[in-house]
Amino acid sequence: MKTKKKTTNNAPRAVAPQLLAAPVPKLSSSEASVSLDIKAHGLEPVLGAAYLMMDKAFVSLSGDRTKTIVVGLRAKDPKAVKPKALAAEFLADLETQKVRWAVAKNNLPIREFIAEQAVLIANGTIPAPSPAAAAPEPAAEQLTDDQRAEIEKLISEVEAEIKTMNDKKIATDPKGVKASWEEKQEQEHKA
Amino acid sequence: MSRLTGYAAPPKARPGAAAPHQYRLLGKKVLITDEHGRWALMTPAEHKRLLSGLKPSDPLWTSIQARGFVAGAFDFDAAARRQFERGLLSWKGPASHALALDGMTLETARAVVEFVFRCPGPQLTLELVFVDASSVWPVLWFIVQYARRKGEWSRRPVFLIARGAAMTPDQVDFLRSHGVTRAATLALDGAPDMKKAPPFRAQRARAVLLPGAVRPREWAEWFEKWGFESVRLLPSELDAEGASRFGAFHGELLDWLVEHAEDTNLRDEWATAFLAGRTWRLPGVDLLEQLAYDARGRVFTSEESAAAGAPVLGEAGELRYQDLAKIEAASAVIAASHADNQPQCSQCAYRSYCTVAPSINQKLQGHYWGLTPDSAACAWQMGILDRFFGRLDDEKWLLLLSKWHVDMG
Repeated sequence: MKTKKKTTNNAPRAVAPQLLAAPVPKLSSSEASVSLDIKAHGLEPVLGAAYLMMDKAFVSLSGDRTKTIVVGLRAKDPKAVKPKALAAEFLADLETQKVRWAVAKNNLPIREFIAEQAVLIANGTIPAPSPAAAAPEPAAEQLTDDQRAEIEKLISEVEAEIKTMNDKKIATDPKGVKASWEEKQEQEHKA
Repeated sequence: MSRLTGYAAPPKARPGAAAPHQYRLLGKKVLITDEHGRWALMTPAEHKRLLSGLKPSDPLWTSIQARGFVAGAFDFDAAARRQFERGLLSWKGPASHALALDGMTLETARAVVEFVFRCPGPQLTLELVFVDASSVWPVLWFIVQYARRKGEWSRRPVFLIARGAAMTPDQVDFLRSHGVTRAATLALDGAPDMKKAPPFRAQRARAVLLPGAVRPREWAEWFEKWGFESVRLLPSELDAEGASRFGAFHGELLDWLVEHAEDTNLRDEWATAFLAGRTWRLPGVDLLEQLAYDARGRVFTSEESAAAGAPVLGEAGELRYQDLAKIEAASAVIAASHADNQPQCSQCAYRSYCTVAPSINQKLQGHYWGLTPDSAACAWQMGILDRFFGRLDDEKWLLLLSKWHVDMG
């Protein structure tokens, strides 16, 4: 990994993104590697862009995540995509990731506040938006005697239904012509 | 395979300008969405203006501010209410319960129905799945009757769906008279024979798209002709090729629906499922939307996991609903299905509409978490949503959505 020149000032370097020179990838016949200054590009955009490459490439990360990370890209299908194209795609994704992370970070306090308020609504500290949102109690697991009796009645009705079905089957096919081989075997076995 | 989109020359985002949002390039348009299901379509130039700070004099300001995308004029109360309503904070329990009836005994059926009714939630849907209704008729008959009574006793609406490949006219009559929706399991291959009727009279079609399926418009006419009210297309193979074939077919079917927006009664079930803006209502999302039960009464996180045989959450006769939270597999699937936990989903414009069911990730990639950039399921769902959102500036599409009670306001 390349070492960077130490700055005389100990304060973090403020590098305006628009003034950054585009990272230059190192290319070999099978792999591209890009060295990225984390203070300039941000850790999240680098990791985000690396994650997005996983459909096309095996991605390796090395280095110090507080200083410089080297992203290695090796194509999953070397015939379909060349290292140079992989590096170009990664760098394009990195620029997009910077925009997405900028929007996310700019709005972090807004999102946190909304989440807090939503939790307060859920807790009942703030009135719920509509009565429909209130959950009914789960059905009682204990059944009344009447309900139990009705279930028993239902089951006896099912049994009657099964008997009717079987009788109908015999009536429409008394010789058992439509019976499957297994049913015939069973009948013969019973006989 | 499934990718976020990006500008060739990304614009700069000025702090305090745009409210939280994600964006996606759809052709020449840019779709922006927030995490509570609000959206706007604009040009790249307009998006650039939003990111750098819209002035109140800007013609875009009124409409974009009303939709909650201007940070300086943000309605926090409305956003909090939407987060509560559309987020997991208002989740009431799995609403859909899929019961595999083939081979199920009456005793098991009773235990399963009783478990379903121990789940909280304002309403319950029981989807009764079988191949041939005749082979499971006593159990099907019993569940319909018992679930109806349980619904009355617990004073909760109960929706019953009988889904199978075969049913006699008598069985159809019984189910219709008991308010049971009939869903036909179909496999679409080649072009439709308009004269050939479906296996039974059903309101819904769950149609698996075989590789040979062609002429989507004619299939739409076939569904319409035979009285289907909705269709849910499914790819036969969930790989890159299957997702692409599905996309072409589904796109043409949608075109037909849009062209016949005023007179068709056919509905695309994916539109109503995705655009409702509650990811835990997407069909088949493990535990959050669905629980599934096999013929032995074992409880699974979804039909997909029931088909795979794991993870088993317990036996319907013994498991207590409140104990689900203690099961590690249950926690894992819930964590895996949340967009904030998935690097690509958290930045996706469809984050408030979509999630890949963890059991699908398990099936395709070997783990619940999944790797979205490489996921055919993610590509498939992203494709569906691209087709829906790409049409949002089409009046006919909006008319169709409003007909389907999808509020995209």
